[in-house]
Amino acid sequence: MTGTELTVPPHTEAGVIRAVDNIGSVGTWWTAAERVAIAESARRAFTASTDGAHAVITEPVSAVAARVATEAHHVTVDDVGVFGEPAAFVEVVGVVARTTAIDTFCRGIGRPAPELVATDEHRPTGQVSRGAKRRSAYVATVGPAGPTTALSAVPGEDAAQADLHGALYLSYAEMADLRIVKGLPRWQLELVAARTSLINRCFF
Amino acid sequence: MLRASAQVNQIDIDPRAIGDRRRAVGRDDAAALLAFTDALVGRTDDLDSARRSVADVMGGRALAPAAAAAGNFEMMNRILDATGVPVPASMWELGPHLGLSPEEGGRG
Repeated sequence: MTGTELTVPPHTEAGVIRAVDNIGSVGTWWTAAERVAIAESARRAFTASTDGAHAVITEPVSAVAARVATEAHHVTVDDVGVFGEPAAFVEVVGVVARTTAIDTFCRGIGRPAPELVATDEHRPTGQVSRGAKRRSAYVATVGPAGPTTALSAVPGEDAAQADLHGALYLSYAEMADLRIVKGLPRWQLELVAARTSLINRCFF
Repeated sequence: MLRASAQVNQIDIDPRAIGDRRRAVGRDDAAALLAFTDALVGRTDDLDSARRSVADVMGGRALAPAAAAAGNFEMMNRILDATGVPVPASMWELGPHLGLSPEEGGRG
């Protein structure tokens, strides 16, 4: 079975396209070209490839991107310290996490990972959440640290996470509906979610 | 969420099969989804056969939402772990119910 024989729900297809475009767009701390380089560092980490010089981002930034991709459970607060500005780390986490999500989805349906292209040359926005404070997590959050606030110090990353969450799985509002059927019945979605998390050694 | 959604939908599965893959989960669709997730997220060579099993047991329409759900949690796992969001104590207590030994994270 190949990807062309599958039915991909329109909301999923559209959401993946938006996420790919988002990665290739200017961010809060990083340019579009830097975000694509961060994503490519994450991809290379899965193949242990050293191809591609770190011409766009520095080796330490590339190394953190690779660590988030392949062993996020071993990331420590020291990794945040690699970056002069914590928002830069938050953005790396968001870009890497969404890249991995997109690539997993595509691999699952037998489709090649999409090409990531830097689509603009604007300067990073620098927009961070002024109300974010360091609480129980490694990074500042708006409100208590949790699944929907982990990236909230950087509004652009927070919004991109929520958008892809709704496209691949359930929107935050839909999470309250235990009987929802969105492609699969809720219990089947949760079964996949639970097994994925255990494989990743994530016990949240 | 799995336990709650399975209960409200009156689905009888053994959730310990999620953490202990030697156990039978109790339903063909659940077994196909677990094997598919193992191959997809574990990046093993049997993804093609796991994909075919899902399509055979559940129909081809099940594949995209299953792959998408796995993709979403690949994202969420990395975000939560990398940003150091602490795991609530209540989550650790679920370990034994998911078939995890204390060494694997099944506290409680």
